Amino acid sequence: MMTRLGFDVWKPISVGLWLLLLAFLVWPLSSVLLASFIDNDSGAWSLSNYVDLWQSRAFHRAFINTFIAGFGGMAGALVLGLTLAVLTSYWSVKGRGLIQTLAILALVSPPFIGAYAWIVLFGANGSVRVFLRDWGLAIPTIYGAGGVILVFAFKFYPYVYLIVSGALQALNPSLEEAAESLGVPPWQRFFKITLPMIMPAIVGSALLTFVLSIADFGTPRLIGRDFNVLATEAFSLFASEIGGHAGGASALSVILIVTSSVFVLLQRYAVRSDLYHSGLVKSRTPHSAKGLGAIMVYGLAYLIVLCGAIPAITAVLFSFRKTSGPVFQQGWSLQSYEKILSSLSTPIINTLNYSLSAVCLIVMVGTLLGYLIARRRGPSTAALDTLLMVPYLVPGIVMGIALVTRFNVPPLAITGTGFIIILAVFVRRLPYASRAVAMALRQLSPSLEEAAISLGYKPWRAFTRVTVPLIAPGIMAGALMSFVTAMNELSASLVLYVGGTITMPVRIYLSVMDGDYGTASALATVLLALTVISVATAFHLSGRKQSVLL
Amino acid sequence: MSELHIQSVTKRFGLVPVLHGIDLTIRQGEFFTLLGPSGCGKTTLLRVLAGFLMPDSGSVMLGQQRLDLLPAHQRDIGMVFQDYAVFPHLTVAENIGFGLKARSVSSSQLRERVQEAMQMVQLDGLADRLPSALSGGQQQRVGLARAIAIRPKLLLMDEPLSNLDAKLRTELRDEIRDLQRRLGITTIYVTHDQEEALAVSDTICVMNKGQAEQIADPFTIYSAPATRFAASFVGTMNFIPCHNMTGSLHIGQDGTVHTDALQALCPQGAFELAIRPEHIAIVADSHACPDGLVLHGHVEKTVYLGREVQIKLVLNGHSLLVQTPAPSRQNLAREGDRVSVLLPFEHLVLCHPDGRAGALLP
Repeated sequence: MMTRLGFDVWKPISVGLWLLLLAFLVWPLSSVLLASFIDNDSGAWSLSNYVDLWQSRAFHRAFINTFIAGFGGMAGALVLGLTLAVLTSYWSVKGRGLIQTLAILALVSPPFIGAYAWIVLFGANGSVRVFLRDWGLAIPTIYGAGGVILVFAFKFYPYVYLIVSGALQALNPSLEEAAESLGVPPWQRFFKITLPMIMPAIVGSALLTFVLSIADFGTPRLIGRDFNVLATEAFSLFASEIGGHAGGASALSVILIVTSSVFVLLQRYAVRSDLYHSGLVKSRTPHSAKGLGAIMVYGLAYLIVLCGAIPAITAVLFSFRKTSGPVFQQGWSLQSYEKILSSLSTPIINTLNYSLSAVCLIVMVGTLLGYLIARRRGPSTAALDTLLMVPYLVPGIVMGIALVTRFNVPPLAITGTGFIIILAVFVRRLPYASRAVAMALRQLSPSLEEAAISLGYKPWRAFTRVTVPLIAPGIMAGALMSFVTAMNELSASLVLYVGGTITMPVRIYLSVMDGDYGTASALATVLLALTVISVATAFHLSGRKQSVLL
Repeated sequence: MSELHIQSVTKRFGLVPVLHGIDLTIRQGEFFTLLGPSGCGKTTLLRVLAGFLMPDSGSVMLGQQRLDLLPAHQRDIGMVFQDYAVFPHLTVAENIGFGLKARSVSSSQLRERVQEAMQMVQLDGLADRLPSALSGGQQQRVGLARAIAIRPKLLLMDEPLSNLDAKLRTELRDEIRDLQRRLGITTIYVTHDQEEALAVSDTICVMNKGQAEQIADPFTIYSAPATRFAASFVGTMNFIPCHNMTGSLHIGQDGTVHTDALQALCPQGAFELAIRPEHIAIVADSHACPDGLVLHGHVEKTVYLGREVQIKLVLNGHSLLVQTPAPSRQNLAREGDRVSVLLPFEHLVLCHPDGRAGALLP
């Protein structure tokens, strides 16, 4: 709509962004798609990779397991998240800030730390299990489908909690009062009035946890043992095909993308419009629970958030335990930290390096993209916006495979360098950043920039002098959240790393695989500390808006 | 001294035409208002002048200069926005000086001109406040001061008062008018509020569906609308459908034949007679008048407004709104009362089926 005279600086920028996305998103992914249709042995076009998968029992199991993990994780997260949201919205629970903090801690701590911590506690020689065994109480190990679902439930419930309690807060309590005055009893009121209105939020958050569960690689790998899912299967196939043609892994990747796309699109559909969002919102006055009710409310709420925070707490505690080799001993020490400082500083430095570089790129490109999407509507930017959906659909492991297969030959032979890890993080996180910027811009009147132009500023200067300073807090908050995900990125890095470019999450993953829990704890604690600091800052910068975390 | 000439400007958004060949001439120092309902193209025209939109055809000349060929930031046009568009991260003084900074004005002169602009809009003493600490009215004053501080050749205002409450609106409206007179800046003002337009303008252009319906001073716009649309949009207007066939004049839905004097003034075929509520008088039943039309009906509803009374009458199957100064309690018309009303010929407006309108009396 804004046709301006003279040179429009946004046109070349738009072209540049298109080229960037085509080169680093479309082109690598096209390699996966193409490779999946090429026979590994003959090199001819064929459906043989898909046929092989179709006939493979392992694939069948992985496919079914993926859905078991997805629906299991979703169901668990829904039960925990909904319970917590309803409890904290309807009853005044003391320490609401603490509950929120613990939920956010569970949200931001990387899933593989969760898996690892549960192993430390409930694995074959897990502390809790050993402790209970000494008392004559034998409980099964955490390994297998149950463990995976448990980890997902406690890892992903904060999404349900934050989204649903947001919807409950946006709900006009007058509606419930109206129902009450019409003589509808409380229980019916919840099911007939409240539940239908927060349904989009519930369905949307449930599908989100499903997509996150099926894309996760670290958890089933560490805790699943024989419980293989599509993501782990793709990695195994890829590892076995190294050097050759990655036809099988590619076909599996395509299937994983399609599966996750279906659910991402369902999720978008569920949250397509905030139908019942009322503009006039008076805040709800929560009841104060008394007697037995209070014990129930408090007990349940704190049980959920404390269990969710167990991984983080365990990692921190165990990092200070005395070790002898990989085995924990009685007593406390800083041994693990001494070890990572003396011999394992490379992953820390690498992680900081790559994450910072990726975030710088994300901020620059994401801001420009967000501006185009929010302010220059047109067929080209609409297409760009749609293209930015793609990274949401592609699990990390698939993105890693795509980048490796495309960039191991000239003109861009960057496989094995740090660049490719930076690139992976950049491409995967870019949509979040540009969406955050677009959202911040939509809350900013376009006439601000027009005012600057009419006062004599060129369009580009109007953008940098007026718009950028105004959306800077939003950009910074988005950047810090990108930094958090960049630091915690495991699945793509696992495919992309070589000895010299190893990152903290990969090192932790390898340490856990080797049973070196002391090192893993210390590294996880360092990672967690960096994460918590970044999230706290982002939360503060965004004016304490929870939406920044999602 | 330079006039602004807008010549056959057209604009379409996709396939939707928004401006159909607008021609306007605006004198130096004139307060010119674009008045019309939403979607009539008034804001589009303003944005074409500002340079935020490019016309599909036509030209805009300021004196000898082709304005439409300049990029927006080189046009030297002050713009005041509906949503104020005050920069929230800058103080009042920084906002007002923002345009001067782009113009390499020396810092001492900048301070002086900011001070001067702040005084003009009565913002003295608020220089270091941030906009979030200002009321809506004060924010719009900042917007106004910022626009005039650059001493623009043209001042554009896009519904500047529509986000303010009623009292503040009249207050600021009068201030804008006074300031414009004092500075003599050619001003183009967009509004959908006809009362606002009548109050501030030298000239009003009534717009509808991308076309200029009538361009005239406020008095003419109100008393002698040139089109049926202008008659209906500005103020309140009664429309009475009429039909004139050889020998008989039908007024309203029922066939009622009327005086020769009126028939002689009316065209053949279907048309409408229009009259403002305040020009209708309630008269005695037997009243006869050579230069007015007397109609009979009954009172459907009265609305007492203190200073005046609005009476809704039903006559000949259609309704007529009458506005009279409030009479004493006893003389207030009651629902169901039978009344006669006089519609003086001099106030009747003739609306032709093609949309044109004009005074009934030549």
